[in-house]
Amino acid sequence: MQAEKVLEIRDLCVDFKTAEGVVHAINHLSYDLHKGEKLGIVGESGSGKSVSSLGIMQLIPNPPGQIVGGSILYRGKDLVKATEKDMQGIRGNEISMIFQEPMTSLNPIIKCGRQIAEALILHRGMKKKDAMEEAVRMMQAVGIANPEARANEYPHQMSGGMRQRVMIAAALACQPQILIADEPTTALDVTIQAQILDLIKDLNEQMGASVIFITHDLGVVRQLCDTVIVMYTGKIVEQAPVQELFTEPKHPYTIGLLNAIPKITKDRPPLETIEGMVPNPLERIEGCSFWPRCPYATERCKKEIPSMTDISDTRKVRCFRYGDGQETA
Amino acid sequence: MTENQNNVLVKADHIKVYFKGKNKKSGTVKAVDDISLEIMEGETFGVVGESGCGKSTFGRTLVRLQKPTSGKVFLDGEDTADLKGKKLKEMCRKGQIIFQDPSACLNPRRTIRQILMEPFEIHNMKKEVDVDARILELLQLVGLDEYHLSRYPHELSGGQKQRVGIARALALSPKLIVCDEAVSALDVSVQAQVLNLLQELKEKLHLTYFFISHNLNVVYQVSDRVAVMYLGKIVELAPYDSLYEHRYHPYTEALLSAIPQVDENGQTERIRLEGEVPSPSNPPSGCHFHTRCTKVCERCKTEAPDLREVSPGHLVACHLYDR
Repeated sequence: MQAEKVLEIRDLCVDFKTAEGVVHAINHLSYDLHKGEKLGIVGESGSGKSVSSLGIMQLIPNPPGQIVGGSILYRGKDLVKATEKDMQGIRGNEISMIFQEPMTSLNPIIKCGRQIAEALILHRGMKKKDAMEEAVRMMQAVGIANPEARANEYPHQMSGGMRQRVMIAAALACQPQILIADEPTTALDVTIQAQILDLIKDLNEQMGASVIFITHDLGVVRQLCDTVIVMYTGKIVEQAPVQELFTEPKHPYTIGLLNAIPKITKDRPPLETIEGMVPNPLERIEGCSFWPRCPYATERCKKEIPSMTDISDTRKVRCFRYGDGQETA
Repeated sequence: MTENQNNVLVKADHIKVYFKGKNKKSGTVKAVDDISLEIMEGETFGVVGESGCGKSTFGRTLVRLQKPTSGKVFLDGEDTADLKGKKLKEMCRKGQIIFQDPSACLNPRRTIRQILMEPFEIHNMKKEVDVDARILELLQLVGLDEYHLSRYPHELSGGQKQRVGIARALALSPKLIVCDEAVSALDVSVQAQVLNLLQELKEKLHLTYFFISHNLNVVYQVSDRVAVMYLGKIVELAPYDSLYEHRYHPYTEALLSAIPQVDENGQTERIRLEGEVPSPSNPPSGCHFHTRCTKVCERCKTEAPDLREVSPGHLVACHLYDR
């Protein structure tokens, strides 16, 4: 069943230098992305989920951020070592990204059609006229009604949902291998969110692009993704196929997150909460970074850092409660 | 939860809030279009709806941050529409509001102590109340430390800032608190903490909440009764348990099915809503929802349905249930 790997991230570390000290935003992050896979990355604010994807695109603002270690292998090429010129050929062509707020990522003074065509002119060397035709075709593919007229409109003339469709059309124009979606539906209403999720699902099936979907909403992940990664303080704490994560969460943090979400049930039990809060990124915690909030914390958790342990072929968890938690890598 | 449901605390009587455009062409936005309801003392009244449905405007009208174009709001038996000066100030003590973005509604240049002091300054209560003691009491209620008093908002986390917002709303011992998307900007683990805190405070201080959110799960979790709004109108209004059993209005059903749930049993069969919410300045004729409704009939296009009771306490505005 394992398809070919399109992306291999190994031991990626990203630091941010701030006036108060160095923040380790990403700590030894490793995961694989397979062809056609829809991978969900979940975490709360400050967990490093967005930084990890900016890392793939080499878009981490430097300074203050910097990749200080590890590798990102895309088709045998290490993107960490790639030159800016190489990256320009990859961004928007082989790996594309869509962001949370489409209004800030579309240029307000350029018509939507041209913004989609831009990628085609740049990467495919198309003539302007052909590119515009292709852009209209893409707009149709992402479900924009009356695309010929819409292509001549500016972003402010469209609604939030439509703008996000334009973003998706622009990102997919060159038929990339990987689509990175960073909270693309967070700013949208639920009924529009449902439409956009359907669209991403359909396009994934039609075009076979792999998807990395970053969100804080576990419900969205359950609907869209095949595999889920849960992040906490810059580390992966659990990785599992989507169904298993929801029926049988292993890491105490995942369990806590799932319990904290209000559900529509008959008897409405009070919400269970995770005590405390996400630690200040400047603070260094000995041992497992979750122990101050963990109901199962032991003396060992306070001293040693657990490593990612395989608990089945497809599942990994970073916790001493499962397996021996010995360093495997 | 239903013990002290004897007194009506808030009564809204045919409230309309219209916003006029600059010229004739831009038209009038009917943000709240003829809503009447009663909120009982000690009740949590939840409102859900998508952006632009008028839920925030309605909430603001209840505490007179927004004057209704027509209609009357009675807060604790008092008509709030014509209050001025001293009387208005007194009314403000009874109804407070908590906003969505805790960073935007706290003055960044004031310490938490100064922020919490302000309600007492505005209402000239520094002499009658031992303010310092009261502030400490408030902090304790919302789970903050004395140590936070000398901090500035930027030194606190989102959840802590929201707790300051709650403490400020509680300062003058109000009866009604309007929570306008009070937990929407928070991470799930913090959101759960704040929701539990609100629940706790309600029981301790006998508060009444008007709870606004776009998240049906959150509203369902805390509310005794839930109203679903679409383009300025309430389309369904029901006690939470009745809503769990039956959702009559096609919009409520579609809204619920669109929310990605984490537990499999909670996910209802997906109803695809085509298109988007129409512009509130030019809403569709008849039933506002007919352009996206899956069960639309001829009558819906011309005649607006009234809110009718279909089972005890459960009201729906839809021609499907006209008998």
